This record gives sequence, C-alpha cells and structure tokens, in this order.
Amino acid sequence: MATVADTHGAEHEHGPAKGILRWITTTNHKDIGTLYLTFAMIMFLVGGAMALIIRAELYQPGLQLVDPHFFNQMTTLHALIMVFGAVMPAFAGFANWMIPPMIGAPDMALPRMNNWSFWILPFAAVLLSATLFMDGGAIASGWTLYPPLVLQFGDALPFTIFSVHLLGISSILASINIIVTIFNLRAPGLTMMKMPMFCWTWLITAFLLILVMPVLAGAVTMLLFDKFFDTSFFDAAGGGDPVLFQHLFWFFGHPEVYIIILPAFGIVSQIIPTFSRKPLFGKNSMIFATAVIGFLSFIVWAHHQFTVGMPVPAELYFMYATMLIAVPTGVKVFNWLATMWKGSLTFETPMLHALGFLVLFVFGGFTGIMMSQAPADLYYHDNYFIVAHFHYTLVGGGVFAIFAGLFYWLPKWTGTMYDEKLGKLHFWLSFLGFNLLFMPQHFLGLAGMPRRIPDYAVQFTEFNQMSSVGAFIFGFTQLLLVYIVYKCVKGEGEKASGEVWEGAKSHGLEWNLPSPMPYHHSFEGVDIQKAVADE
Amino acid sequence: MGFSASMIQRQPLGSGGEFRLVLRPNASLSPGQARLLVGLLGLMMAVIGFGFAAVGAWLVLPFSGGELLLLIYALSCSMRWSAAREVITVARDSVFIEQGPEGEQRHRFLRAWFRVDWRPGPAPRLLVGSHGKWVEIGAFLGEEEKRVLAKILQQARAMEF
Repeated sequence: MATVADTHGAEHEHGPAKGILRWITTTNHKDIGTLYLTFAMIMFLVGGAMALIIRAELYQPGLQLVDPHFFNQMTTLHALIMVFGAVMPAFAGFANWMIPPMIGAPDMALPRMNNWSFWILPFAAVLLSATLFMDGGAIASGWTLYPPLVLQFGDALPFTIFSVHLLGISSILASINIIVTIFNLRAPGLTMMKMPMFCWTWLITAFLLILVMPVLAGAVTMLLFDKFFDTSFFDAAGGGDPVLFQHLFWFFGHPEVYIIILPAFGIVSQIIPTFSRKPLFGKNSMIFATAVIGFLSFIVWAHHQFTVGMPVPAELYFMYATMLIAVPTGVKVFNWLATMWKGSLTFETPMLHALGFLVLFVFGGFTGIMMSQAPADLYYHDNYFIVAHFHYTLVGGGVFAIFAGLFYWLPKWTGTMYDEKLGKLHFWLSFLGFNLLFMPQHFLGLAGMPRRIPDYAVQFTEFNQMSSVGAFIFGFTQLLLVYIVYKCVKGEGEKASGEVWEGAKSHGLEWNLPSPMPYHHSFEGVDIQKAVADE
Repeated sequence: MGFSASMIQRQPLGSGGEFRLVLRPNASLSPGQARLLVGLLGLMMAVIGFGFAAVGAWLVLPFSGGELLLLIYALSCSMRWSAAREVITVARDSVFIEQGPEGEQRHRFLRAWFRVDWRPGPAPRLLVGSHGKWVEIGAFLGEEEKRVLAKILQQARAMEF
C-alpha cells in the first residue's frame, strides 16, 4: 500500500519506458539509483586504473613508467575521482534505491530534481578527466588544491574548478532531496526514532553536505578570482593569506570524510543485525553517536594543518577535540559488537564485508588517534603513514561498506541471488589484497618515505613491492565484482524471495516488498505501522 | 490492513446520513516544522558564511544563500503537494467535489446518476462522474486507499436518506 503521495507515478501507466530514453528521462528512484551505482562503478575502475599506474611506478625506485609531473596528475585525479566520482555517488545510489522503501514512500520527494542531480555527474566527470589531455596536463597539486601551487597550472585549472562546482551542485541537489523526502514522506507511524539507521546516517550526511559545500564552492571560486581577476584572497604579496585556503578547504574536507563514512555506518548497521538475527543493540545511542560525530566534524578541521604552524592553544584545542571523536565512534563499534554478542551468526558475503569493514575501519581509527597528537603528527604528516591511515578509513571503511551493501541488497533489486562462492572469493581477495596494499605503507611512513613522490630511496623497495602486488590483487579483484553483478542482473542464479535473508522482515520495511522490487512499489497488504513496531 | 485513516477522513453532516470525505496526501512534516528546519539550517549556514566573511572569505556567503533558497524552494514544492485537499460531500440529492487547497475546483453531480469508475493498471485511477463528465479523485492516494474510497462512494450511491 502506498501510504503517501506518489509525486510522479500517475504519469506512468506501464512501467519503465524502453531504450536509452528511459535512462535519460527517468524520474524513478530505482532507475536513478541504478544510474548512480553504475556511474560509481565506472569511476571506481577509472580511479583504480590511476592508482595502478601510481603503484606500478612505485614498484621499484627510480623513474620507470611515467614522468614526475604525470605521476602527480595521477595522484590528484585519483583522489578527486574516487571521492567525488566513485564513493559519494555509490552512497547516493544506495540512498536512491533504499530510502523510499525504508520509510514507506513511493519515490523521492522531488523526482525531477533527482534526475538532474544524477545527470550533472557524468558531464562533471568527463570534464575533470578531459583536463588530462589539455595543454600542460591536469592539475598536479594533490586533491587539496592548495595555492599558490595550484595557481601555477594552466588551462586545466578553470575546468577542474568548474567540474568541482558541478560535482558540488549534484551533491547539494541530492542532499536537499533526501532531507525533504525523509522529513515529509515518512509513512504514518514511522517516527524519526523508528527510522532505520541507514536513513538516519544519510540524513545527517545530507546536513553535513549542505553546510560544507558552499565553503568548498567559495574557496575554489576565490582561487579562480586570484588566477583570472587579479584578486589576492590567497596571495600574501597582495595582502591575502594562503593559509586561509587551507582553513576553508579543511572546513569542507574534514566533514567530507564523515560524509563518506556515515552512510557506511548506516549500511553496516543494517547488515550486522540481520546476520546476527538480533535487533541492533542501543539504536538510540547509535543515532545520537552519529549526530555527535557529525557535529564534531565541524570543529576539528585544523588537525590537518598542525605542520603549517598555529598558536599552541589552538593546537591543543584541535588535538583534544579530535581525540573526542573516538568517544562516539567507540559507542558505535561497541554497539556493533554487542549486536553480534550471543547472536546466531552466519557469514554470508554481506556479513563478511561488514566484518571486514569493522576490522579495517577500527584499525584506521586507531592510527587516526595516533595522528590526532599534534607533536606526533609533525612526524607522520605528509608521509606514507597518513596515506595508509586514510585508505584504511575510506577504502577499508567506505568501500568495504559499499561492497557489503551491494551484496546485501542486490538480490532485492534484481530478484536473483548472487553467486555466493564468487562473492566470498571476492571478499577474501579484496581483504587480503587491501591489507597487502596498505599495511606496508604504515612502515614506509614511519621509516620516513614522503607521499606524492614517484621515486624513493632504495631502503623502501621491499615494502613498496609488497604494496604494489597488493594493489594489483585488489584492483583486478574488482573485475570479479563486475562479473558477479553482471550475472545477477542477467538473472543467472537462484531466484530470491521477498525476504531474501532469514528473518530480514523484522529488520526493515523494504523486505516486505517482493524481489525484485516492482518499478512502482507499493506496500499494499502490508501493515506499515505493525511492521515498523516489530522493527 | 495497512490503511491509515489519516488520509481519508469521514465526517458526518447532521443526522440525515449525509457525510463528507476529506482526502489528503500523507505529509510527515507540518508547516511549522518546515519553518523550524529552514530556520535552523539557515542559522548554521549564516554562522559559517559570516564567520568566513569576517576573515575575508566573503565568497562563501553567496553560495550559502543560494543553497538556502534552493532548500526553501524544494521544501515549498513538497509542502505544496502535501497541502492538496479534496473534499467529497455526499448530500441527499447531490455529490459535491472540491479540489485544491482552498477548494478552487468545484464539481456537482446528481447522486442518482453518479458513477464510480475504477481503471486498473500499474497506477490505478479512480474517476467519478455522470453524463459524460468525469473527474479523477484521490490521485495522490495509494492503491488500497483508492479501493476503500471507491467502495465508500459505491455504497453512497445506494444509500437511503
């Protein structure tokens, strides 16, 4: 039964349109979710290919494959593409697919805006990637775009900034849609505190996005003004301050980390209870912990700038505030563990990925606490230790949660069970490849190897070789993922039931729908209020 | 049954059996809550925008302002849809249908000639009318609510007052 207004369904009498126009003109949240996920997968492979170029060059000391300028272009574009083109759109894909059925809504609140927010993305991605072929190549400043270095690049700079604006607009439109949908289209009886964790984490993520995106937009526009309109926002010679850009960037950049990790928390909070056959332990505390993490993300940004130089009281403040984040994060980790405690655990692929997430994210969190110490950070900063740290949180955390969510909901979306053997093989190869890739980088960093260099001293060779082998294992394993998803979409496999996972109905409204979910789903015959109360 | 009475409200009119049905789409956000949401977000954006403007980064402000306007527009679109109302009054001789938040569109049908037309499909439609004049009602309702509504109106045709 659709208990809320279908804002677009009345125009569609016969399911999806046929052909390419279906995908260009669609306003259906499931279609748009699929588009986001497909786009994210393509960009994940593009960004991954760039990572493999980096790791191939670093396999041994000296310059073998690429020149240093191209190497730096690769590190810059790899980061921008992975953050804005792969991970964020993947979570937007999950939000599109799952938020309406989770809250008992027929679609997103603003379906046409939803179409726009997706279709801006491919243009932005093409524009960003095309800078590689411009005179002087793509920008090579690192994803932080720090002036004055970034202002030295030629044609690529305005195009990169324009693409960042487009990516930001896309994120803002998606966030506004999610906020309006969650606040206005919840089914009767589904109070905020009864809402699933995935919706809660996305709601807080949307707030973060809305609050920080204007700061990034303003910062990159000021870069553009400094470059082309002779202003001096960041030019010390004209009375400006290059460190101001760093404050602006990290005021956006630190919450951005949480923008990536909070939806991951949401996905894992859906999966662990299902495969533990227990309700989520301490759900209310999970919600408050998420909100506290969101708040803290706004007041810790300058821990990225300890080495720039700031007054000791400011260093102390940012150090202690950063350490505070461990408290709500610890609450979440404790609750996931308590959910599993004495549960009837089974280890299907989604659960394996969720556990992989837990192990890797906690490891990344611990190295984060190490770096929150201002005196220690002076050493860790800009070496391979930080590279290892943020990949453990963003790949070990974010990407493993995406894998987990994909395997968890794929049967619901396609109506076909994925190949469990291949799924488990994908997990183990990814998990081992990932650790072989990034674990040695901790030791490289501690031994003093700087980041963003194409050449290095010979004593770093062995750890770099291990890391590069791990990179190729992790990278090529993702082709297996593409194959598994392809098989599932083609319907090659067992038919999935509506509930898909044993007892899943008690963990979310969406499991009351048939698999695959109808193009225009409705909760006919489902007592939403009872289903919500059971949850 | 998943039907929620909040979307179709039946109100008796006097003691003669006449009644009124008020149809409205589901909306979990009240106008007051929407204003509070915009106010809180606007306040946070203002603190961030003016804070950076104070240290020379004034270009954050226009982006914050533009984004806030977009949020207000998006919320108002959704709230406008939520404000849709349809009032169906079943009287002794006639059936009156008023559509729009202020009942801008009014239709009158003779009860004796009044017909209910259920058009099935992936998004089934419910039309009422007579003498070749048809009006879709409850377009914002879900399938089950539409069925309930159709049943009530069918019974109303045969009611003795």
